[in-house]
Amino acid sequence: MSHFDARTHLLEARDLTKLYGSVQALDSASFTVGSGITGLLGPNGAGKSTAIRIFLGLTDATSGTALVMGADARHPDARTRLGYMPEHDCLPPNQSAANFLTHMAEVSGIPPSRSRALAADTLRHVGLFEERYRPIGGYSTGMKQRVKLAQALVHDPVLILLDEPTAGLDPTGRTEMLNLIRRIAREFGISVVLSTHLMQDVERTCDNIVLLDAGQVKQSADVKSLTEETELIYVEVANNRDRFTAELSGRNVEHTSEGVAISIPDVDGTKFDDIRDALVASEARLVRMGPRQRALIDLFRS
Amino acid sequence: MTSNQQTERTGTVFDIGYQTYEGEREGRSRAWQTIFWDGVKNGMGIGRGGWAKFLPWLVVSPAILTGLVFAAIAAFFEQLGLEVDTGEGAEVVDLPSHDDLIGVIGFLLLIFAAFVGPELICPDRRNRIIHLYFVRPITLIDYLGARWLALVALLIAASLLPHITLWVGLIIGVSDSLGHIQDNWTDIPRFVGNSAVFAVFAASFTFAVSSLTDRRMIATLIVISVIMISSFAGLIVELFNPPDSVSDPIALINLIDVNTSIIPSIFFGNYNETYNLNMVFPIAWIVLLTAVSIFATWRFYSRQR
Repeated sequence: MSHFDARTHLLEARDLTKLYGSVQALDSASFTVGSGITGLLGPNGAGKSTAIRIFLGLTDATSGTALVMGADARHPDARTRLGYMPEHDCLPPNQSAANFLTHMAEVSGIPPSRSRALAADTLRHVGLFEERYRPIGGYSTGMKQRVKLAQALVHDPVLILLDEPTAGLDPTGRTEMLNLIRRIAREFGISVVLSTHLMQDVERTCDNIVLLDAGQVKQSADVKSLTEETELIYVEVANNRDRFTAELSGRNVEHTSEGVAISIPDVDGTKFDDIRDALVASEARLVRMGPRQRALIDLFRS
Repeated sequence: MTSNQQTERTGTVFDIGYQTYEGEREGRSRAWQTIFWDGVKNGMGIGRGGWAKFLPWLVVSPAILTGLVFAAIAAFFEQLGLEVDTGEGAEVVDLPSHDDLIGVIGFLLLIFAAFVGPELICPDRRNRIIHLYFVRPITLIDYLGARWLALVALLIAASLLPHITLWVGLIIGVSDSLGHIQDNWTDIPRFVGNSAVFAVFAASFTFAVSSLTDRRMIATLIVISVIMISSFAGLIVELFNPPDSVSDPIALINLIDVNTSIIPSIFFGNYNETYNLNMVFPIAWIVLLTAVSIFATWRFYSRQR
């Protein structure tokens, strides 16, 4: 595994199917994960956790193949350069972060002579160097999340899988965690798979997304192309809203209502004149108008 | 030194940033050793709080002390005015033997296993650290095997220490030490073998019980309860058997008796003098209990992953 070929996909799912009795968690899902930050996105029950469990070798697929850096995910050696940060609590309250990380580094195959230094370095990178000898039980939620992230990093993996890393954090803690994740990818050169149902986290952090729904891959692309290709004009009017939308329809301008606003797809930038004419004809008072990139949430809506 | 000199910079701190690890990765063998030694340390409370140290030592200390008392009696046998039983004299006693020692410390060692066994595997499940082990390059067998061997090693050590002490005491107590060693060297494989069989059984049994709950004390109480209930049931069975003999296989339900009397008597060669039951029964029974316990533990963990 130490001779990992960068051209190989970090993760590759080929027709992955997983059945739990009569429940189909994954349905012939095929996707790849390359370097950078990839968001594994989907509602509850979409199959995100099942896919992660298969890649981690915690469960076997009913059919299909899961490859981790080119190796069969069922083989223990495939996890040599893989890190995982679970969503749930998984830390010993009576141990210090330094001791716990040292132990986890050794379980990952790092010799004892190097594991203590690696543990201290990793805790420094996640901002816990000063507190490393305190028992983990006395840490705040944010600090515990950092220890969970640190244990995933301590053996210098090529790829880490993060399961809802911002769960339970306040807005400041969430921003700090997302910044840290970006830093791990950009500065440390460690690729990240971010499994989450929070689309804002994905938009703020990820380069690529894999969108799962009902066990199937609905979308797999880079975030930039998804949001650029679907530019929208958002228009908000104070009165005569129905007349305004009727005028838009009369001019064959496609539009949808979104709360107080009306969104109009405008890929080629030619709709502004029609919108202006519709506003004048409907005598609607304009409150706000402007182009906006489509949010990832629109992928779900569509 | 002037104040200007005091505030003058004498060094610069450089952040060398993230350093990738280019060293050796020792794989599953390193993981296996780490889990094993972590189990040994956890079992005896090494590197942990006072209470974690207190309980295992509280239970194992009387066993070691018993070994010391037996050794002292053996070493100062003649000075104490005691005489080896030749079957002729009236005021005579036997030299303390390894067989006698097991009869005294066997129950304590079972209780020791009941305290230490759950300590090795329950907290990992309770704190859910177990999930972090299984996403590393190890298998379920690696984890359970390393933890199980850690407990076996602790139990063998706790069992051997009193035996070795007694063995030394016996050598000191006789005038011809070399002759005693030559005549009784077979005691060593006997008490080592008996300790190993006991350790394998007790470790497997306590692990099977401990896999039912993630709370250490509950697991300990279940193990002790099962041992006590089996002993009580065994005593009831004995009421319906001829005195001073075990002829009914149902009597093997008494786990204390099996581990402190029946199995040791096989190792020390006096089984046929004491029991009327075919030797195959206790051997098959202990093998069956051990195998079922190991399978139950593996099965439970396979489903938990």
